[in-house]
Amino acid sequence: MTTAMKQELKKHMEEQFMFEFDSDITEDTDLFKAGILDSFGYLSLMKHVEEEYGVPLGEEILGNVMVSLSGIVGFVDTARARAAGSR
Amino acid sequence: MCGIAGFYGSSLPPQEYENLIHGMLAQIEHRGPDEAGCLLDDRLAMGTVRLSIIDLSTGSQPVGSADGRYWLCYNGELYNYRELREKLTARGFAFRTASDTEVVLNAWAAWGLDCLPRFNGAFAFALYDSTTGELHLVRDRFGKRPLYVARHRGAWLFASEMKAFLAYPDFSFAFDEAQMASVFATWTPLPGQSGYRGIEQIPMGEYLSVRGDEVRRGRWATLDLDAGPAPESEREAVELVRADLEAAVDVRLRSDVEVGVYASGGLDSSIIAHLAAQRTNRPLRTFSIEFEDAEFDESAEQAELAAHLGTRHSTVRVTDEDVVDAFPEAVRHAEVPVFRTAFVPMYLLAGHVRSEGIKVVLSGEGADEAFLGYGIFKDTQLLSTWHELDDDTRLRRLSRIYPYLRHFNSDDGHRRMLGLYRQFTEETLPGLFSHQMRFQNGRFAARLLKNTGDPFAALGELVADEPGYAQLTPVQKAQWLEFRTLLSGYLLSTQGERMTLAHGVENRCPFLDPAVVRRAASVNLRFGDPYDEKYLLKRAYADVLPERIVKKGKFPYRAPDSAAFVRSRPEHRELLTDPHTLDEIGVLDARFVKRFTDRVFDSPPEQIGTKENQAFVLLASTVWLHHWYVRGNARRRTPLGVPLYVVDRRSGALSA
Repeated sequence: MTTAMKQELKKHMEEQFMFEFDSDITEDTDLFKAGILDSFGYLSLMKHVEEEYGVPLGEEILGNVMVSLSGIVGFVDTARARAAGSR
Repeated sequence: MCGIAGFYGSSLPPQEYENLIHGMLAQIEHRGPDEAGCLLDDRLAMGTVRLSIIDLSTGSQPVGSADGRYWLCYNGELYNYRELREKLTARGFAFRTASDTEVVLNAWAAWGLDCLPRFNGAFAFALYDSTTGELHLVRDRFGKRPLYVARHRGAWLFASEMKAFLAYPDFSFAFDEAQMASVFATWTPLPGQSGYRGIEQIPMGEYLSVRGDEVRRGRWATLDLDAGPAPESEREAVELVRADLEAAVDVRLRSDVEVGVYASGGLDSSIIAHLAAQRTNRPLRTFSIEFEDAEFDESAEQAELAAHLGTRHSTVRVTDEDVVDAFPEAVRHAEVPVFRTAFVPMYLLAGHVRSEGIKVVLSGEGADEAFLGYGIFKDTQLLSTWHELDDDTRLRRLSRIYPYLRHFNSDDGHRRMLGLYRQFTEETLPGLFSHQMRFQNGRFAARLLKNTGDPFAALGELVADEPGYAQLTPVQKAQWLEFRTLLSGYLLSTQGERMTLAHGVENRCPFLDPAVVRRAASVNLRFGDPYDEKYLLKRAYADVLPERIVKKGKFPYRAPDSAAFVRSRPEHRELLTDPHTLDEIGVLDARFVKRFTDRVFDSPPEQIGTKENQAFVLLASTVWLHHWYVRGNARRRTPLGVPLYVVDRRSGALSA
């Protein structure tokens, strides 16, 4: 699931924010600092993650996530694992 | 109000001076369509195109002091000229005219540079001391009137607008890569910058003096945001704010021609319209913009205000097509890259005002900066206290920051905002805590450029060089940045002064009276609710303005942007991506420009967000600036068309 999610998010981000992941902008790049995301883009990305992956974004966790592809994927994985563990 | 231009230390033959200065003045004739005058001397030529407002009969320029030592070319208005004239008369100065220009001249003769802090006005001037051979170039404290200088083949060129330089032999424009990166990221040229190589703008409150090869620069006015003890009660604060604003409007109604008011329907201009209406014998003329698109329109509030105050109200209706059609000409007047289209309707409004026979308008500009009207000040309040608050409190405050932004306003939206704001709770740019989110948002447009380096480096230097900046509170820092960057570099100039003067209309801003700004500093955040913007202004005028206007809250003035171009001018896709043009411009990344432009033209408008719109307007304006300035198409082909008189100190001749 992580790989599929990463691919989907990657495609979504590239299309929405007009850039390509390459040697300059990697999966670990902070997308704010790279000029890819602004506050409007951040909010729409978070909405997409919530709706697409069914993960409610808890503020306590979200604040510690660097806004990179790998950071968001890791966050969703962790949130899902936690939800599964609590069931 | 007028325009000035000139050159000093030219290596060109003196017999060419007169034609040259005529050519430079012709480039800015729109600023002063009533008459022109120039001074020729051994080492300089300078002139003025005049918009006659005070002393219509004898206020011509240039003006020389009685002893012939000082000569002045002046752009602006000195609102307290009557009071200064009395003081100068008491000191023995005689006046030949009733103009404020002669007051400036004699004040300089009396006090030298020390005259400047005594001035309450909006001005930029060139003053020549024929005894010492020194030229002084001076700009007002809030940067209301522009003044550019350029070094060219040993000469100093100066002018109210850069386009005047096109008339000087062999002068050419080229974009400055580092400055463009800064402009794209921060949305405005920073103090001193122009966006072009070799051209600088005198920063607000500063002067530059030249004598031979010696150059001196200095700041004569600082922004005082720490105004001492607050009034004891809210009631006293309200009374003091009212009194200062009344005095500010009083002196700005001094004019020998009729004065109108820009009434947008918002709180600030409504206050000004109310105060002006109280002070005029005939029905006040008010002017506003109506938008076809309801998203931008405030005509209902405008109509209610006009009816409430009994003004003679007049509007200009603006469509998408109007914005797109007027864009190139408005950019020609703006002269610098622009990040949104809101300046274009202002250009159209000024044309309408002039066609109605009005030369002077008052506006509400400056109120948001002085009285903390912007969301960014609430951002700063929240972020600077973030670690002291729990999440419930943060959420409640977040919901009050941008109530007019749809994507922020739902329970989910507020919760996501909490995550967003957490990204900005640590200061990453030294001293720039307050604007971190805006500057991150601005990074997108810089992707249109080939090389950006650190687009915030110049801003960092500006802050580091400012004495006392580090001691300001977070909100005062935000305020300082707004005054020094966006207000001076964009709102007062590109969206304000340039657009009105393109049609020979002067704008005056009572909220930028020094006493009003000082008073605002003494009452801000000391009364009321910091998340209720402009709390004291609302308290001060709630009893005299329509409730709807006072309670409406912030409605940022905006205009149709990229969608208007996409809908009405699809050929702009080719215009903006022409490889030959992009190659000539030099600083743009052609590959990203193509990708970005295709995206904008191929997407439904609702999928184009704020940062894309800003990037689009920056791109479009840069392409037009290249056409006008780098290619030189803004060079005028016809001579100066207004009555002109010449003072030639080399021969002692005076001709008309």
